[in-house]
Amino acid sequence: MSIQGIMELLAQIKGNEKTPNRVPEGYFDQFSENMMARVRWEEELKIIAPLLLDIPRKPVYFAPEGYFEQFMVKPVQATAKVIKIPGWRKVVSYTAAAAIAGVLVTGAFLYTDNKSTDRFDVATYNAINVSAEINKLSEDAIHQYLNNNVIGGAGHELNNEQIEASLVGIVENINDEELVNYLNESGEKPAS
Amino acid sequence: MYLSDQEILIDFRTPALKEKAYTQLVKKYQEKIYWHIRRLVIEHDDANDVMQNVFIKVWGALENFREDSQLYTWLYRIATNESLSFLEQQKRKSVVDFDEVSEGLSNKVKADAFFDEKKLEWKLQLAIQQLPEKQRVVFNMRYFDEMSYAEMSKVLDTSEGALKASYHHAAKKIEDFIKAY
Repeated sequence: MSIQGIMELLAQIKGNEKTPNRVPEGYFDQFSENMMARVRWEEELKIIAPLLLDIPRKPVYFAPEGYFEQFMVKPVQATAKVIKIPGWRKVVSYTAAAAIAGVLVTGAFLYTDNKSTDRFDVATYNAINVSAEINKLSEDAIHQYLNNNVIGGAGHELNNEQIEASLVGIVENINDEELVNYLNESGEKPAS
Repeated sequence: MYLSDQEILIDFRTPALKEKAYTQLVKKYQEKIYWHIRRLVIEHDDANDVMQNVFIKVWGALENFREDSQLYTWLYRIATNESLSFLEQQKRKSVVDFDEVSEGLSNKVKADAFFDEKKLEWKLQLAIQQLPEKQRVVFNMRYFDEMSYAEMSKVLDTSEGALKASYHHAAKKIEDFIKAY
């Protein structure tokens, strides 16, 4: 652009009453209010902790570059992901639970000395709180009892793997119809 | 230039403009809210998670926002509550007492890539982490955001007198910490 052109352009800008720069709406209305708030803030700090006025208030933490430009609210997951448990594992779990319950009930029954049933009637047995009675026993007493009575004494203990293997063996021999019937009878809906 | 709070609220209640108004609100306030959260939880990833929760809550609650308070103070209130809940969860996970919590936050400050313990501004950050939780929140809002006690009172639901006392205690403790450090 020639000097003449620049002169003409400057003359146009000078003649234009409106400035091209804009300030946020209400800026001047709030300016004096903001200034007063700032003065009060400084005066307060000068009295209570003047050292803090000497500390630069520049940010010390940084957000990753472009974070605010790219920030998006992620949509909310309506429900948690449902993990389906395979039907056979459900049956193994039920069978294991039933077997453990059986051992506990049998153990409790044996522990209460069923040989002398003449001393108790049915109502007396029903009144016994088996869990509470078992809780009263020391660990040593339980170990001793199990060694002597339940699984056939020392050397006959089953480890977890053996129990699981035997349960899987049992379950494999049950056909689907029997499993469905069992689940219906026990009030559980079979996994579809 | 952003829309005014009033315009954002009107647009948000208009189904066709709802998403656009929400985006405007996020863009308008995200930086202020982020730095408020960041000063409380210290690490960026945590601040990002908390900010996500804040704006998700805002989406669900903005329709019923009562205009007897400013949108800005309402957002601050949600952000403060979400940040404190986050810190509470962390506390419960690690089952630690107050001293260990403040030590944990100090360690996070020290772990920052730009941490320089010789600089006063970093000593200030360490000093802030020694404060009890409520004083930490009050100090950050007054010192960094220069929020008035009246506004803080709306955000924290505490009397202006109590907030002033809290801030004065906090500032004094921080000054003592920095002098002794």
